[in-house]
Amino acid sequence: MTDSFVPSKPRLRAELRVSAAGAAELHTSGGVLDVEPPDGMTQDDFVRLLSHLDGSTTVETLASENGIEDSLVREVVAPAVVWGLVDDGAVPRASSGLAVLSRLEEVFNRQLEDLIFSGPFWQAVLERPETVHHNVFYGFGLENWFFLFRENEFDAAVLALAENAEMRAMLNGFYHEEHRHDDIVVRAFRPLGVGKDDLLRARPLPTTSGLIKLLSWWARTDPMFFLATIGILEGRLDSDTVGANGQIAYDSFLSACDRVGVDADFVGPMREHARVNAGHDHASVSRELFALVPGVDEDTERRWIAKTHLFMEAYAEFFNGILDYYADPRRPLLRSVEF
Amino acid sequence: MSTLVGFRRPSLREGVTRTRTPDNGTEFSYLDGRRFVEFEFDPDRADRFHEFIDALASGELGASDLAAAFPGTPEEYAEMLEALDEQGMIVEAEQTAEAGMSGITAYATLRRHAEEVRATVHSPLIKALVDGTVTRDQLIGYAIEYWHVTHLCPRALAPVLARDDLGIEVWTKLMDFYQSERNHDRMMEKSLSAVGITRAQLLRTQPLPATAAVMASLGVYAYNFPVALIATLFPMEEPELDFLDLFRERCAELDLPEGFVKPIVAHSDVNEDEAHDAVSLDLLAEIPYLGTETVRECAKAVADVIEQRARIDAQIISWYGNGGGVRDLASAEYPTAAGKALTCAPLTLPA
Repeated sequence: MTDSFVPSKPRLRAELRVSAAGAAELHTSGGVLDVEPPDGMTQDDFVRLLSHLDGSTTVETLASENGIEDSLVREVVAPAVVWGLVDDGAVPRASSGLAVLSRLEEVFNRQLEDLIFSGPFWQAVLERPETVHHNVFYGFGLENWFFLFRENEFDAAVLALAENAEMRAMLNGFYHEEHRHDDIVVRAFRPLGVGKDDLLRARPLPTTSGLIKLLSWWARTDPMFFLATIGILEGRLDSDTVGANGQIAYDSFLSACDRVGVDADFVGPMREHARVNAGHDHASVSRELFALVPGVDEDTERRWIAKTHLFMEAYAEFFNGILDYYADPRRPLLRSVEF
Repeated sequence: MSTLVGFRRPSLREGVTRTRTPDNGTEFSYLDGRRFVEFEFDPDRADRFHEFIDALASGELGASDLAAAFPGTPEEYAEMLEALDEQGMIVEAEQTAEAGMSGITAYATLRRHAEEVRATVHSPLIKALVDGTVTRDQLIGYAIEYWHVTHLCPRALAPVLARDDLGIEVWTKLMDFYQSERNHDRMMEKSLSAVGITRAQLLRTQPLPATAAVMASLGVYAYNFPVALIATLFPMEEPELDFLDLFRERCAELDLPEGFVKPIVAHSDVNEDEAHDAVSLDLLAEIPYLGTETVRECAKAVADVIEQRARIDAQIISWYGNGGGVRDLASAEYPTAAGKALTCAPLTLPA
């Protein structure tokens, strides 16, 4: 058997006693284990080595201080590790959950500027909304509806999060608050002559389904990473902007709608959804969850940093796909599957 | 301020620049000036505000000390930090992880906990083997349940291979373990065919409720709590002390053929050769950090599997000892007496 699991600073978790006959005994709450030195080691050296397993000394130092080979230390320690009588005295290397989320936010912030707001969709909506065909605004609403309609696919996957009861309770509350948000937005499509039945026969753009499926996959295979993305997905931008009609605009999209006079019956329910989300403060969900994450190791953080870039690419594609498709008014608003 | 709830040491993000404005305010700028926010200060409080900003940037003050160092009202403090946070300029500076341990320490903790739990449960099957009251049907029943475990094992483990939050070393070892567990049901089928039970028959049977519960537990952990799956492998794979010798002895006494006994012993040897009971340690040793609560949840899972295993033994005695027979529950008339014995069997927990 390999001994690669021998900890760098072995710590004995049993009480060492020496019998009248000089034999070593390990006492635990479960009983007593008689232990013997391996070949080539005296009983005295064996007992001395065991008494030095205090969790503050490395295997190499234990070997040199006891005048024996590293391999002999490992030979003594390995079976005790298997029995659970020796653990690791070294402090595990990990960062606090919020410190790691702060570093992921650096990627979110940068990519929001570099890929998303400087991309074609947001450049058009923010800088020259009057040149944007109204179908693009409707398309934004429709693709958001597809996203909300399928939100259960990813949110439900973390309802049973096993590692932390408080996080699980928070996620169940979040799910409850998100439930039927798609129905709020459905009302926005009345002026387009599009009802729920029409939506149920339609399918999203591949850039929307791609984002949905990525999130659903991560929620199942790397749930903590998925949780880190909620804040950005639920985030509202430019929250203090006052729209053209004097109402709080809630986000840049709604303020652009106001600027170019998109049908108020469309904008109303969209604003209502933004207001509900803002009321629940869903933009801070990731922060609240990660405040409960006690620690994250380096390899995990590296993997998340890489995935954050992938997530932001998919998110940028979600927006840009909307402009690409809906800017051409010859294309139908709904891509229906009819048979 | 709700977005900074839980921050232990709020600080200014590295890369955020600060510039004094002509009227003695401060402009914060980030991402090449694409994000910025400017604050003006009352002239009589300006110096104290600049001191506060230095303190914020240093990241050395805890959240409450930082709030106390703010030269204005709590509302103004909240407003200022929220304005900076909206531009993405605030980070958590506290790097230290909270209570947690390495995977090796987690293993040792779980292992010691398992010993404590094991000391409290008893197995009616082991007792029957020891005192010689075990019946032929119960020994065959043991083999049938063992078949269910080996038959269900691949599909219980498979979901964990889809996970992407374990690190490549752990994933690779899980893949190897999955491969090593495949086709073990064929060994058990050899054994059972020696007493006239065919694979076709076995495929129509249902496991005992406790066998099903154990395999369901592993399967669910594989889906949504991989560390608990890893943690529960050692109590699942660990051989019971002296079990095989007793089993062999009683089989001989009850005239069970050698063809029945041999594959069971062989399977146990395979598990031992492949050091299956060390799989938990081997995998956990690759995990650098686990939070205390996660380890506690794993400990619950380990304790539960130990108790469920004892329940399997109790149900083998009650079902197969009361004429329950092969559990082809859809076609045969349901043996109610065995069912009652099974469902009324006392728990194997201490009084």
